[in-house]
Amino acid sequence: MNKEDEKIEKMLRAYGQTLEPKTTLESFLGIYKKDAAIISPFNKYLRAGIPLAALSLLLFVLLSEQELPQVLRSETQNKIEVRNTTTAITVDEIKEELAFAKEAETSENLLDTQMIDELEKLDETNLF
Amino acid sequence: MMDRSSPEYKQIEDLYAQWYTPLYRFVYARVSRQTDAEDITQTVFMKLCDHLKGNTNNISPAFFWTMARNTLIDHYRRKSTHDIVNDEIILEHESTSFEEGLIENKELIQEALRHLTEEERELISLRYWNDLSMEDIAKIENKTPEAIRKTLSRVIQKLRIQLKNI
Repeated sequence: MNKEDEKIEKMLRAYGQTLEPKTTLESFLGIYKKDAAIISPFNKYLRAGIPLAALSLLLFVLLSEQELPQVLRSETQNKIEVRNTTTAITVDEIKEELAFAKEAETSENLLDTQMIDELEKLDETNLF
Repeated sequence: MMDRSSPEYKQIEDLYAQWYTPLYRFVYARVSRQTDAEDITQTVFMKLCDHLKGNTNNISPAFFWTMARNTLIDHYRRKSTHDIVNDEIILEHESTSFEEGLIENKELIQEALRHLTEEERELISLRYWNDLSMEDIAKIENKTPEAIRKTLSRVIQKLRIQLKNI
């Protein structure tokens, strides 16, 4: 093996060291115990015709996450899974956040028009 | 939430400390997108925790990686490809800990890795990101160590060409 190859190997090893997951033990446990990240009541929104993308945006705003969470259908269970979020969220917490966002004077600054529309849709469906 | 003094918590804590980051690197090599890698690693690790209940004492690297690989392949089969990986592969890992002076290299490496196949990146992850021996990789891949050595040598050559072209 020549020096150039050795240099590439060294670069690969150094790059590998930078690959660190964001998921902590605690956040993993929250998912593993299925007490936080799998939120079955979201099915109500789907039945009401609210798209997954809108739910994802809603959670992004409400939870102030760095990354947009993915809201996915679970194949094995008739549930909706919220992924890519390090925040353990429960239905009650979402209710609180939603209520706060709707009542806060600054809510219009936090939520863009599309989000306000979605929130109004949620309110109309009266699912909470 | 799980009781921190429970044997189950201790078991998962040990598994997490030893295997979570290596598994993440392995998955990342396949999917090449940070958010997908986080998501799939969680799912695969969850299944591994279930499989390994009560058996944490004697997990050899070859045993773990074979199980991880099979679980990942099974996950691929169950999900449609479009759910896991977007059509365009993008290596976009954010990091602040890259060794000083190698930041430029990071971008070059990311770009070069885009030109490898998933299988080739898997070998890179096992050999260089997780420091496995040729013998252990051979067991995981069900090939001979010599075959792995030759393939990796070709992959390095391929990367060398890519890095010259960038």
